[in-house]
Amino acid sequence: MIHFTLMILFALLVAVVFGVVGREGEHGRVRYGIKIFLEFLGVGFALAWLLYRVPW
Amino acid sequence: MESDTHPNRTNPWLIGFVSWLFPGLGHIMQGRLLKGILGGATILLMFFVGVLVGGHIYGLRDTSEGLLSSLFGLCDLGSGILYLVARFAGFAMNERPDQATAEYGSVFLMVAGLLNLIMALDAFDIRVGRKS
Repeated sequence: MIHFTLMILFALLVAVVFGVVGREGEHGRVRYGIKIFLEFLGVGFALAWLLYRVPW
Repeated sequence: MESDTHPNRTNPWLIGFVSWLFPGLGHIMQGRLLKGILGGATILLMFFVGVLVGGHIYGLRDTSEGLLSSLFGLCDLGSGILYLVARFAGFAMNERPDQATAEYGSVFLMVAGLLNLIMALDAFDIRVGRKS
């Protein structure tokens, strides 16, 4: 569970900084940050699912 | 809060350097208080979470993981004063493989450094007029 929490926290913190330095203007920043956050989560889940299937 | 009412004549390289050394200060110096505080606080939080969950800082001449260690060290160096204090005070310098989240912590520390470099570049760009 701690790994999942860390993944969410990582996505959140990176999304905040990307939102801060993005070029989207004042109103687009929050939307851009949320988009980055959701993309991180989506890619994280996709990779986790793929790696779970790989028979190491 | 994000106004240009006081034109900043500080050397852009100095702004970039200060922003690298103290996360968020480059933006604050240019009147971007919210950006500076939010970005700086986020980087600080990321760094401390990294230390808390068992991450460690790589040295530039560290060879524990071959040449990659130096690259990791460069990423960590991006944290500015946090990296320097950690190096000189000697905290978060040793690997803690007993903690299951130690590798996550090291990644948090590296990414905190990389994000701080992005913040410093952003502050530089604002100063030279490439960004508003």
